[in-house]
Amino acid sequence: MKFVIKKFVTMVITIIMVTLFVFIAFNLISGDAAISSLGTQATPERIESLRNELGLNDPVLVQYGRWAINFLKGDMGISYSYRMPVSTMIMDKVPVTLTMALIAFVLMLIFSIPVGIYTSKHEDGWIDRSIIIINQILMAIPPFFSGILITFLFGRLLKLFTPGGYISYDKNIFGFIGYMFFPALAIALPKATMAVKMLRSSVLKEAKLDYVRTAYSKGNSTNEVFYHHVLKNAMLPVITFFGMTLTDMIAGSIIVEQVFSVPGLGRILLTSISNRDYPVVMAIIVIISVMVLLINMLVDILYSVLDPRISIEDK
Amino acid sequence: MEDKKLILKVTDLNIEFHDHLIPETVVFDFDLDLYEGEIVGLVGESGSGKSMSAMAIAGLLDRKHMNKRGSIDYDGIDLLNCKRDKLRTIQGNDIGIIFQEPLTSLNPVYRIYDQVEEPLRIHTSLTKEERYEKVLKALKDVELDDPELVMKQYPHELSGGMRQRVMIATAMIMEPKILIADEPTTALDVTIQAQIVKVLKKLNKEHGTAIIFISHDLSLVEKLCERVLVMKSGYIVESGLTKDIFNNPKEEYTKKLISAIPRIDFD
Repeated sequence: MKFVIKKFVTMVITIIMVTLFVFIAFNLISGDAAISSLGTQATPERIESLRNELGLNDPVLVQYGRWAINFLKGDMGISYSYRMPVSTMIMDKVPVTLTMALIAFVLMLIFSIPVGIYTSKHEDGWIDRSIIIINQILMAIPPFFSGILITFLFGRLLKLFTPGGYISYDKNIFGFIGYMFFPALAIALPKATMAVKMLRSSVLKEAKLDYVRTAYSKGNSTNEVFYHHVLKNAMLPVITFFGMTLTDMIAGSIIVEQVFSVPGLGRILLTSISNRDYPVVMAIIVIISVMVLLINMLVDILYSVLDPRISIEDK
Repeated sequence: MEDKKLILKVTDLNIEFHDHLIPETVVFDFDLDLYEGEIVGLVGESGSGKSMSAMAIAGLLDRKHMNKRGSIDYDGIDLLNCKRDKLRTIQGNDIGIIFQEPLTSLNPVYRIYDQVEEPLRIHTSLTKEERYEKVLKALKDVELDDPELVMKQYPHELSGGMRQRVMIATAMIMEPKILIADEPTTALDVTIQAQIVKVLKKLNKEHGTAIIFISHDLSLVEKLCERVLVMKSGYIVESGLTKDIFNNPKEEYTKKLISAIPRIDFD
């Protein structure tokens, strides 16, 4: 209980800090929402009146306070460029980005755990060596580039999906998941390869420790030693990595959404930043921060369950 | 010694490492006859091959990068050359082993109960209740103060001495014929050392378990062992009854080892 309260307080503080920084950053860079929405041809008078209307002439902290109070009341504000409530703009985008991140996460798990186990069990075999080389190459390919390769290979050559032919989840849920599989794959690939590498080296490191010798001395078979003793210990650092990747996948989906024309949070975030549409940007930042912090908290709890040496109450 | 039954016969054991460019032999022509219920000391400086010989008997030598010759005969089974499946029925069942590093020899993520119970799960078909009784008795036998509490704890919650007791309880739970103690007290402080040695001696008497006690601490060996083998650079340089060797060492090396003993009495 103490842990949950502590985490909650940390979370609130973190979100205040993050939003405040974003707010200040917006005020430091040139241009503002009034100029972006009226265009460079607008008269200074019109720009000035719109500035007053939007409250852009108030001091930064006053603007921030106004935004924060409204946000807490559940009012995310009105988009400057689209003139519509931010909540309606982004709420139907959240499931899109979240689904993509989740599919990517599951793909990473399905790929990395068995491959990591196989390579570490057959250390220095030719399959292990080949996997390490392929792994190293895949690890170096950034998601936007693997996204282009996937579009070319699966979309153009194999015709498994129509590039750019995004299917909305409220129209056809299976079509949606089918389409999202490919951007998710692009996100999952580099992470999965890193996870394979981590799991492999973690297993090999654990296998040299004394408790493994003890396990053999009791009459365990090699498989029993591996799955019962080594793997459980070896998974601990990998789980931390998995938690980090999940948050990274949510925040990092922005570019891949561009490549695959997926109307998720990433696309709207990019356009809003260039339009100086800060109500939208702030709302997305808050959503992403909350997700990241929640996932971190879950990882902490999971970790303390799996590793008796770590107690969440001590943190 | 003649009236006792021979339970383990090691003949011409040679161990050669192949993990470097030049093969390196670490044990030469090691011979050992172990009789029921006796305590044999194996002494020598670090790198003399005593631990390697013990690991070979416990079947814990790496299968790769190593060349082994000779035979280790236990109950008609050659532990050195038999199939791993066969070896496993003896490991933890007829032969138990405890190590130098009690701090790291236990698996950090399992409770003590699970770790002590493990040989029972592997080698017997006892019910849960029967296994519980056995674990409790084993923990009591090694004179842990609060066995019911200890079995619920994790290794990191115990001191080095307590962990070594847990290791002994685990090794002894199947009441093995042979217990190999590979420098079990080296990592512990002197008072704990004495307690652990006392426990080993008690278990030897009560269960008739033969102990191969490996140590470079000759004062402990003198207290505990009836017979002793002195090793140097992979060879057994001297062997015989402890009192003969201590009173009348033949080899220069043994004399040096004996003269290096700081005299502390702890009985």
